[in-house]
Amino acid sequence: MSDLVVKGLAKSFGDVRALREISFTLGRGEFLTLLGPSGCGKTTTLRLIAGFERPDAGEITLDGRSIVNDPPEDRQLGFVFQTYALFPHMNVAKNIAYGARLNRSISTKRRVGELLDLVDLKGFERRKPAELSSGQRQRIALARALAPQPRLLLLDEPLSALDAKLRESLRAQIRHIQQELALSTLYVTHDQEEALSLADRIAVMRSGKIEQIATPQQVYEHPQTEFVASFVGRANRFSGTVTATKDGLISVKVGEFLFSLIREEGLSDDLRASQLTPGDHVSLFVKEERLQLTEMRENAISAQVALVEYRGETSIVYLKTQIGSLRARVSTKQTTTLSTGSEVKVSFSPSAGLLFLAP
Amino acid sequence: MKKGGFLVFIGLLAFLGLVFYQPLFSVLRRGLTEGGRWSLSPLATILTDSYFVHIIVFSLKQAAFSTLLSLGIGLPGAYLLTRYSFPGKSAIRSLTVVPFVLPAVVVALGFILFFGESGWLNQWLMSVFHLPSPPLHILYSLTGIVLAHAFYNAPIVMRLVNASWEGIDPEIDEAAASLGAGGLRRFVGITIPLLTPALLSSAALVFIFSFLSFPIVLALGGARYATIEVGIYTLIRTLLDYKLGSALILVETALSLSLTYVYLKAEGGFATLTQGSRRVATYPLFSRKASMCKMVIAAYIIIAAVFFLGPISSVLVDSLLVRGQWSVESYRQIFSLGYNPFLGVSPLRTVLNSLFIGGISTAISLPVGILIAMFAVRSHLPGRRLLEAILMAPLAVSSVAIGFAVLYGLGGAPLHLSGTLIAIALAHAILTYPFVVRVIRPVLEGLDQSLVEAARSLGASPTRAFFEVILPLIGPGILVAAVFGFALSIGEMSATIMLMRPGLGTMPIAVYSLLSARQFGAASAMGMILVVVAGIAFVVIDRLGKRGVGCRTLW
Repeated sequence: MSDLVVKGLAKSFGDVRALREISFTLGRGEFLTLLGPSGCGKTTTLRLIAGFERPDAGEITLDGRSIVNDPPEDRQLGFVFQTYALFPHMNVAKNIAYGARLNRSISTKRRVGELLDLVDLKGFERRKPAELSSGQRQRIALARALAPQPRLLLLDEPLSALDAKLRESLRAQIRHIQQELALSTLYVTHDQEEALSLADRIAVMRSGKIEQIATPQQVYEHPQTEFVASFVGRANRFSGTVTATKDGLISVKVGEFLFSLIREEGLSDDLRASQLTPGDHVSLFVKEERLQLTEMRENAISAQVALVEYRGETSIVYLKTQIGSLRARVSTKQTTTLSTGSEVKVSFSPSAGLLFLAP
Repeated sequence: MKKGGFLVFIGLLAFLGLVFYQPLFSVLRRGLTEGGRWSLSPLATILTDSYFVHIIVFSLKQAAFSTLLSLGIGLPGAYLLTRYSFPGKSAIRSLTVVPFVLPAVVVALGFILFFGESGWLNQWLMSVFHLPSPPLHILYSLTGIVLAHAFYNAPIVMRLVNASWEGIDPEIDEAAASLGAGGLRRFVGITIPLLTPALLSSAALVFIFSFLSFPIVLALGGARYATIEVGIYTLIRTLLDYKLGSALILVETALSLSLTYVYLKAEGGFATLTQGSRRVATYPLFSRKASMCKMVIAAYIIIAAVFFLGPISSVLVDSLLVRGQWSVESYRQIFSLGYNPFLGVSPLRTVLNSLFIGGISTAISLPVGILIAMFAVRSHLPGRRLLEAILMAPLAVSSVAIGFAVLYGLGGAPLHLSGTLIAIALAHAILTYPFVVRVIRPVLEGLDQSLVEAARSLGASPTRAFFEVILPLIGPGILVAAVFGFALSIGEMSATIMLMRPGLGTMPIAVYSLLSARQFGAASAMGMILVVVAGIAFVVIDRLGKRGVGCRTLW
């Protein structure tokens, strides 16, 4: 529906620099997630776009027109709050109708019916927000935001107050509705699983900046910065030194072990462009599910099992090695013979390692 | 803060400067000048003259005794409310607000009728024990003053301590028990330290209220038992000595400001209390099993019931009893347009005056209080806390002093408010707006800021969002504040008496004049009207108060 372009957004609250420089575009019908730890500026970005706060610098355009000076009521954006912010003195129908009523072109009554249908809450018209469960409140908040046919939907951690099961089913419902309406959507969350499963693209944020913006798969498998590598997924981290680079392979010495990595897989775009030379200090990341307990020729270390944690189909195995503690996620079938104190070999494929220059 | 809001706020400060700060400062300055020059001699007179030293010491002494007695009566009540369940418990908890809206002069009247030499209690004791003369001599003594102050303040102690006690997470006590601490050890080592902020702040509050109390001391103390408040009143209204009166106000204000500082310090301790998910377990008070403990509790309840209900019932009975016969004659007198020699005006006139003053003062205190509450909640200005404390200053200045400040600062040119009902209404507005702030502020704090943002993202302008979202949500709070402010104004006597002129009498002044003239029937009938106003205020505060307007916030 709409094209959002955000350029050079900056915002400080007193001495705190909430946003340093935020730029991205959101294509028509696209679902973009802002992912990051608390305090990274993701909510501030959303609030600036909604018009609740004024940026110190930067530009926000929607459909080619700047909206940065418009008050929130003129922006025609739907906003779903973390706390839902349903009007406690109005019933469900009035809450949903509130925005539609202000937009004269919409037939309010029909719209309320349509939206209650959309969020599966027909028959709840007369209930007050206090009489709804938190999952129902969340859906009404979504319906209310959609009622005036917004040009853009903004969601601020909409599922964070719900329990895990409910979160998962509402997540699917939000995605379904968004695709059905082909609505451009910006979604703020600190939950990586939510971001990975929902978004067309993810912007990973840290300290008021975007670290990487890419598809979920790229963010997960090819993180471009050390922060993204450690924030998305669960990885084991080692400090080492580059000893050789040749034939598309890189050798890294960690403690007394020598690991080899495939250059094409293991380096970020920036690092591949520059020259990695022997003697460089690096951080090596290996995702927990890429560690294997079957012995391979390359990259093998002997380890002692410290603890096996049953997680259903997979299990987490905590290992003690000469280069520190490791965490491996393996198929539970493989752990039947293991017990605390067992001696095992742990290894990873040369394509599983990710390298970043140590700062 | 937005520009428009800032301008409104500057306007508010200018208004308060004109009607409160400037007049108060000119009074304080008057207490520091002699023959038009700065001088410490008025202050020196106050601090060396044996009469003034006596009343200062007496003020502090009676306040200390009042505080002790209020704690003595209030703490067992707080314990009962916290640890026992019984029918009417929530009603009793609600009723603890009543003394706060009950005019002091009516309480004084009730005490005279109930505890007086020929009061109901003495008559009853004489007839039961066949005594030749009244056994109790309570009135016109320190005891009478202290008892009346306890009547007022014990419920406050009960309420504050009970609220704090119920706020203690029972798991803390259970944790101590699981670690091996016995009942007494837990009470001394866990409960009492956790209750200390509530104990200190309620004690400080009672001390301040008793220290600044005026109508009770005036009516029950007699000539010998004057406090600073009565001293100021006598100096200014009887002796017309503005200089020494102002100097005495200076001393009193210095003392009350220090006491308020102590109170605010103690009140700050509340914030650290943990609110548990579970409530303290309660035991049914009325069960078959009798015990020594139950006997003590029963005795407490009977004494408390007599102490609190006796004076108020006496006012009701006396208003309906004329020369030993049931009659509404006293009420007919009150609603007559005829001139009453004791009042210097018709009784109905005083009722109308009170309503007019109450209306005007509420019309001023409500917007002022709302604006200050909004400032306190929204502003991020540096020095906001200090400014907030300054804005709440009328809480720490005595009513008599505020009455005189309005008289002295605004009575003459250019406003010439002297001898007008407006002057009285203005003084009431100054006295009551801090209470409006205390009611409105938590309401605003409880308002989710994202509701306004939600309305605006849905297309509502700021004005629309205010009328459609904010106002319906804070409406009940505003109504409570208005009713509360109105009730306080209707019952106010201290500032009023400083600004009184013939023809300007209000209902509390009429009660005082009638009881001074020993016209107890008419005084009681007039007193009952005040009781009814207080009762209506109580019902409104209690009903609407359930929706987020905590009575805890009233003081």
